Amino acid sequence: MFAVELKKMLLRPRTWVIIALLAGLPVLVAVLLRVTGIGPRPGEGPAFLAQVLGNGALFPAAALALILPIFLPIAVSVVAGESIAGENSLGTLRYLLVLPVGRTKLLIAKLMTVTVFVFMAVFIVAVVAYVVGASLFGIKPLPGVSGAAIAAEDATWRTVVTVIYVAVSMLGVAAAALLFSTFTDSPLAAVFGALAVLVTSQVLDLLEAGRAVHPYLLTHYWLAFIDLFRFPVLWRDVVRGFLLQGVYIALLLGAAWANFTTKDITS
Amino acid sequence: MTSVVSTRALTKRYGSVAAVDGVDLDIQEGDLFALLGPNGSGKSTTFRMLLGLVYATSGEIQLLGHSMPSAASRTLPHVGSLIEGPAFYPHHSGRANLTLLDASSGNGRRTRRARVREALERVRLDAGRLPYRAYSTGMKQRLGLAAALLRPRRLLILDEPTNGLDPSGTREMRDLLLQLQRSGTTILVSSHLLTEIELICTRAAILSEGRLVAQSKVQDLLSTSQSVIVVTHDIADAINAVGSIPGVSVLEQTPDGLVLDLNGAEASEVNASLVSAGVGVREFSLKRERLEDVFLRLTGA
Amino acid sequence: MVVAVAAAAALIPSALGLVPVSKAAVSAPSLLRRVLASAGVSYSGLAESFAGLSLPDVEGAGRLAAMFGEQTRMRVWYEGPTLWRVDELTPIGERDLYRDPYGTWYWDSGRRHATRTEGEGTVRFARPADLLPPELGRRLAAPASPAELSLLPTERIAGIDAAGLRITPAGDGTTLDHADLWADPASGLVVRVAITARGMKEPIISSSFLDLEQRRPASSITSFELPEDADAHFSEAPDFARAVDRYSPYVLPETIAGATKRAGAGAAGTYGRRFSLIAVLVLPDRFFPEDRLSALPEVGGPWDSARLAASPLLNALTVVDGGAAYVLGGTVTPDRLVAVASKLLDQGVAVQR
Repeated sequence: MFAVELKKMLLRPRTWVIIALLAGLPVLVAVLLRVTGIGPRPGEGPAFLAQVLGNGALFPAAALALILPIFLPIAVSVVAGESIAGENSLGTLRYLLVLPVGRTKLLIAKLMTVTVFVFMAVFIVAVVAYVVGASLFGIKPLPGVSGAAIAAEDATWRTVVTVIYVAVSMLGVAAAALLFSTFTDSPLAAVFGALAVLVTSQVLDLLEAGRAVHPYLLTHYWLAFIDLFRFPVLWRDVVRGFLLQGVYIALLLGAAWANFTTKDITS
Repeated sequence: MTSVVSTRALTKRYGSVAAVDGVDLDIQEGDLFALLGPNGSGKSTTFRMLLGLVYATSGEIQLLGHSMPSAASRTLPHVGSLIEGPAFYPHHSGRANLTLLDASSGNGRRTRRARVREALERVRLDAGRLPYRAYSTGMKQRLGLAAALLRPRRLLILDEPTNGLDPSGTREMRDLLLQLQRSGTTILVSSHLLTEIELICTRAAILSEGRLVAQSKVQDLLSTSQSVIVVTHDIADAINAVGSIPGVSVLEQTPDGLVLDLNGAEASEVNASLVSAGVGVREFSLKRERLEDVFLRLTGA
Repeated sequence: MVVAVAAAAALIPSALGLVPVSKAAVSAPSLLRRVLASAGVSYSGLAESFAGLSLPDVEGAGRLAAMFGEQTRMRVWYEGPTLWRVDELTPIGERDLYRDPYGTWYWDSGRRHATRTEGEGTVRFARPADLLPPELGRRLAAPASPAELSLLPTERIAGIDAAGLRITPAGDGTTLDHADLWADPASGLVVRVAITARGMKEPIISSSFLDLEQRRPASSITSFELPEDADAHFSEAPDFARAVDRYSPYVLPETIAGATKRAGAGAAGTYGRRFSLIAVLVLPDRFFPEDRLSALPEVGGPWDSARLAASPLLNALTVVDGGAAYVLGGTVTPDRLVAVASKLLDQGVAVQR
């Protein structure tokens, strides 16, 4: 089942349009930076971007930081929100279920497919950003946030963990979109639901008054991957970020499963 | 004869409204069974409950000898279905759609191409690489049927299979259903083209407002009620004459005669009383009821 | 019977009140002594401080106002008073201060600037590291007398069963209502501090460890290595008092209104004792950007003009009179500031040269 879902996702032109858009934004930013030579003011703007002008090696991390807050979660919501609701609105869901494909099995296959999409998207953005960064700005040893340059082999694993972390951070959003996707026949409504969760979380995270709930917010630890570039690495928030996503995925998927397996398919 | 579909007191409620209310269906192996009823009578909901898409509020369903929906994974591979029209991915061709469906059902990979080709040939659909969204309604219907026939089935559940087909397509469909029935497939079909059903169905059931109002052999349905047409000038005398026969009532009064409901009485007895009362009967004939008349009478439409 | 049951039920809450709550095994004065002696305890960890001073937004004081107006996250590696590193973490970078026996390195990751400063001034600006629980805790504990102490229930903080100590200053015009410290009873290391200002219910400054390890940090972590791509700058110790002296010919008296000078020389110094500290500086009014303070309320008194910047814990008063500008600020009430300023103008300041 997973193989078929994966094939469906990979065969869809939309999948590749979304990934091209995701990779396109950092490329556009890189070209603008290169042409104008004007970077963000130091210590401001998206993480790492200020230093990219001098060192393209930082661009994968900067590119991920660029797409992480809005663009990437929207893309993930679109793909995940469509998963069940899209089949439902097309009517193909009922024919899948009478094949029969078990509802639990279908839900897991959809989640796995979305997971593959997320990892693929993040990985492609990172690779494109590296190539663009290298060709436009040149590659020097990766400068650590805490000063000293990060050794090459060190830089590799930090970048790999960053890619994994960013991808895992998106899985909570994906699970939320999947949950809404089981509630509605309209993919758009599911996407909107997931985005509403996302925006609420980000707004609360900005409010000083919401300090007590901050550690429980879906988006709270998203930017913690920057801690991977400190020396020594600050694991606290990264570990919490992983765990929090795990909790959200379990809760939201549980709810999605409970809803989907007991729901009447009437479309 | 073994029971292929059997429901006991099958009920589906949405809030206080019962979409399906205490339905006892019984479909035997080899039947070409028609489920009839006006729109909103609960046909589709019943089909969806049989297939495990909609959960019954109460009642039992036995499909191929197993309880549904708990045995879905065992029974559904033997069931092909067409529910409220076909549905496929619009940007893929029919062939690609069938291939995806076949892969999702976990059928063997080696014989997949052959299975898909065979199913398409069976419904006489050859659209090449044309994407599904460019199909005509008839082509879509054929592809839907092809999907239902992707593997050998013991039971076909087809909701309005002739929808969107032109007269020749309808005839082809009818022949295909007969051919399938002869090869041992039990078929449960719903249709609004009652004449087509009458021609090929062995048994039928009629649903009205969620309730089963009739279920039996098509012939029996047709003979449950008989009426006679009496053509005469002596209408008043005729009414007097038949009034003394128990059960008989006047259904209709026309300028040149009467339509009488026999309601169990013998036609010869009616004829005899008319003659003995001296009514000048110019024509006395049994009225043949068609399935459509039964349908309209039972559903109150 | 019913009455007996009702009476018993009524007694339960008061009976529960008699059950002893978990109390620290140490007495308040001995806990205070251990806190004061904890400067040599090595540790490393992650701390979060929150300060809601809401200082008036005065141009040019941005960094300071920010430090006392929001949450600050710090990583610290502390071997001893002259060998430590404190990273102030921001969402996209960090500002690090490395202390070695000869001075400090300051590292700004955003600008990739490194600044080396030799030595340390006698009067300096507050910095985020001052908000670390051990630093802040010792500072608060130093002036406390045994009569001002009481024990608080033990709390588990950053993996330590920390003994609680409340310091309630007795009188003397301070804005500080009480300061609560929680410290490791074994080492005396303060792991949480909460400062409550007069008239407030909630702490106005709080600082607590999230993670803590009481171990010597590796020297590879506490020593700064200048990155190749960094801008390096060198500066003298920013001795604030000496810097002011360069522009100001005035000399502050040794005592003002009964408060003795504690530190500083010439035109800048700190006065007071215990929990009532006042920093004073005086300079020619042409160096004083009075126009920037126009948003602050005026205060009447025996002077040309004066403005007050008030907050629950810290107050500041600027006075312009006779060609000189006086800036007074500290953990005292506005009334006390006005009284000290009047007295200072009364006494007059000496002029060098």
